[in-house]
Amino acid sequence: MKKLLIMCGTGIATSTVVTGKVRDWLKDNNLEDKVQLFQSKITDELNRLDDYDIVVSTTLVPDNVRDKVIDGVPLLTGFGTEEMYGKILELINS
Amino acid sequence: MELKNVISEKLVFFLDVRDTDELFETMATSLQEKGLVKSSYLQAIKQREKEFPTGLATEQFGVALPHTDAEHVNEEAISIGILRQPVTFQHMGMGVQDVEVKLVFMLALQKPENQLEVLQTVMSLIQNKAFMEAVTKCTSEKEVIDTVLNFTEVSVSNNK
Repeated sequence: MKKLLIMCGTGIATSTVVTGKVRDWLKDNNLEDKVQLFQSKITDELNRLDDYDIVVSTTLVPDNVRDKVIDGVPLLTGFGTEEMYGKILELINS
Repeated sequence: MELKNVISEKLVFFLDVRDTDELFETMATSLQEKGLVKSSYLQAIKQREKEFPTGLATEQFGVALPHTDAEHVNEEAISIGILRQPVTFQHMGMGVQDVEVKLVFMLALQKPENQLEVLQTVMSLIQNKAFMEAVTKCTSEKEVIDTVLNFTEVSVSNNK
């Protein structure tokens, strides 16, 4: 079971939308059993990002963790969603 | 909860402002006067926008979704601002990028589990070209609310 964290600045607005979309996507692709979803605010998580296998953020993260984090903004604007899901899928299967 | 429960004509503004500070002051003060948010909300919105910007580029023009932590909110509401002159926001997400914003949804939110439907509706509206064109052509507060509700019905039925 992979742990997938979705975070934003407050943990209540954009991460809610992204979590809803990712949940639907997991369901449509029969991946629900492989992934456990977490939703939170960035300030609560920065020190423990290594606890998660996959991290999606709708907000800017510090440079030292940038490589670990997938940009979740495509799910808000509709541009670049396929590429974003591709990155998540790769990590689910890794 | 649905979008129609949290918007109202009294929370629609046609604004001619110079910058985000003036924009936030106008919209947040009105939410506060109606008792929907606490006096700490305005400062929290400004601070939050600096740390975690909320501008989003769409095909037509920028949209911003300023919001802050639930502790500053008394009652859930969404205020809508139509900007006569675009105001520069920073884009949400990974890169640093300016966005010229003409439409603002200022969110006063509490529990995330209650508002998924409302937020998804807002997101589908801003991805809808016809809505974006229509809403900026509105000339009255009532027209803005009617436009939002009309397009909400359309996007909900399309998703089924």
